[in-house]
Amino acid sequence: MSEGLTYFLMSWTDPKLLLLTAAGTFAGIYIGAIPGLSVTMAASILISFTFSWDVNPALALIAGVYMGGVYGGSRSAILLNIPGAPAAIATALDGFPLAKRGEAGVAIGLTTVTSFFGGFVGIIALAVAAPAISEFALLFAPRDYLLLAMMGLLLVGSLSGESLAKGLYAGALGIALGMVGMDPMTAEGRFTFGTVQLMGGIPYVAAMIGFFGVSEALAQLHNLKVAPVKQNVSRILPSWSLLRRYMPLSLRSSAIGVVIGALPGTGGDIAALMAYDQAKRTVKNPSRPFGEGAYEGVVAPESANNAAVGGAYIPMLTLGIPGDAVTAVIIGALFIHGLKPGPMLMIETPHLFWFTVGNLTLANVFMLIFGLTGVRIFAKVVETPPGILIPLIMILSVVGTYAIQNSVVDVYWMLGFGIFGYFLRTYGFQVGPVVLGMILGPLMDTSYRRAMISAGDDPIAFALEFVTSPLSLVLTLAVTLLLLGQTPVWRGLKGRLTRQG
Amino acid sequence: MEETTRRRQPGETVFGYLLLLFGLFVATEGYRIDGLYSPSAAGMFPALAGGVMALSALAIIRRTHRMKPAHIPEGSGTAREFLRRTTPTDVAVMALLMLGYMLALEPFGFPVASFVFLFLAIFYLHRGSLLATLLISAGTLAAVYLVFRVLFTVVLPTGWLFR
Repeated sequence: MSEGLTYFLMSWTDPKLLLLTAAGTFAGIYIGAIPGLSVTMAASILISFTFSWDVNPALALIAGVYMGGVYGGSRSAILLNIPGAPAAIATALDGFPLAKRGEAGVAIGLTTVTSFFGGFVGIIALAVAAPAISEFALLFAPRDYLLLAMMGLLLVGSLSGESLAKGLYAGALGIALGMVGMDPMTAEGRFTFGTVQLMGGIPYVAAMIGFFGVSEALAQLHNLKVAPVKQNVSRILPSWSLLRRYMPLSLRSSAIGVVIGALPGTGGDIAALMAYDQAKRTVKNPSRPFGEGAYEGVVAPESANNAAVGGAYIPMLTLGIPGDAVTAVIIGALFIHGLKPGPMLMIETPHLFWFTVGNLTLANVFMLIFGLTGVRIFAKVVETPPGILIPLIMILSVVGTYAIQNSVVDVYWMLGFGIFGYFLRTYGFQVGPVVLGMILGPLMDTSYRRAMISAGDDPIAFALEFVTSPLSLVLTLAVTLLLLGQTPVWRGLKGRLTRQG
Repeated sequence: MEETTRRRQPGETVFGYLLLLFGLFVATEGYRIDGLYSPSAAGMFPALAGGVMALSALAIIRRTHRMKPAHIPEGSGTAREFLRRTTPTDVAVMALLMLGYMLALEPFGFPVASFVFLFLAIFYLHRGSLLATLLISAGTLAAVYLVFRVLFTVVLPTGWLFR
């Protein structure tokens, strides 16, 4: 226990780590807030910049950016009616009406404190649940990993895209891209077309930066001429009575956030929409009708999306399955540093777990401090014209890709994925499942083959195993339900998602 | 069946068929890895992924056909609308600029190539005055260089042309 505490406090006591976490959180708030810059984009670019560092400072910086970025989106949602990040889409619905009523300051104060609160709930859930889950995860058979990964891909594919078919295509495409290179079990080349260069696989950080950075920047070119609306900001610190009034709702929304975040594949954006929806259905007497500036309408999504941060770390650290797109990128960072996220991570490198928990807590505290200060300068920075921002994103994407292994070939891959991603986005696809598929593909492939080999290469015995073990049966049912996707709850929610989006 | 209110984008049908072809290609290449001699063969999962891609591409094509057709103004064709809306000049110009930037990166080095790229891109997109663009690109480049070269100690191409 005392050892855990030492690791927990590592980033609090080491000045360098403290500074990096603070810088990451600060930068994250701005990255999240500036429309066009996303946390996933920033995290993928940062991985390549930090790969020569030790693992701790790199993780400290990325955790800060993650925590700050998920929160930062709310600010531009409130002040400009443009959600700075997908996780803040729901916040804009009531945040902007609040700003129009001259209550931008109260709205920002309230979202900051409830984000902080939600962040804490997520971190506590991570600290309590992860050790238990990772012990339990040692019992998982390869087929269970296959099912969990399928569940993640299906969840993100069906909830975030235009249709399940598009989500499936994107996920399968990612898996196929992840298969390129030498097969880890037989050392055969797959999709290498006889070239040596492809034996090492497609550089996935280049793919991430292309899909999340360049394709996003190219898509942004369509809204060059959207002018933001300015708002005046008054008092920021919310009153105690106001906070006390919304604590129960914040706690409830945080619980939703943790669960959605912990589900493989789904993160803060979906958590926020679900919490908003839940608040809308259950709050009897909102301060104002929803959509016209209800405090409940900003409290619920903002608690949930920050709670989802801690939640998303749970499957990543215990199973090696990312909880959302950002943790998919963080898994990439862990791989680069020679670490293997999964049930053995907690046994082999327990310090990493408690360090992460302590680090997220620190980032959460910094988020509260930076969130309640400096709003006035903030409004100026957020108004950076896209004509300057887009070229900057492109430069950073190029430098970031080049930095991984000083190779211009990687940069060409990145541009190729960027342009392909642009067309995917234009025709209503999500690029998230592609990257998730690239990360999960190799895991799914080896899990599938191990399960098949242990069933004696007999497809019937293999299929039977999916329904005979209790755990596999539960997961199989979950995947089947998702695949059918015909439950009215999901469909209703999806309809609402597309309408709001 | 849920309603899709979005209209079909120009080029969306062709894109669907391209996706189908790609899926079939992945499936055949997956099969060709080792001929799927057993259920746990190295090619099984890639072939399955290709199969899923092909099947979902079929579903996507079907849905695209059901959409209301793209709004094509009088005197314009699908190809022209594709160029105007899906690949507008801005996107094409920026993609080409980026390509040029990448090609210039190794011979000219990071500082020169990035400065020219930033200058041209900001001048084109932001449409400010020449002096303002010059100052903005120099300032941005200096910030990027300081943060990444000095703080993150990233190795950047120095260029062999001016050596």
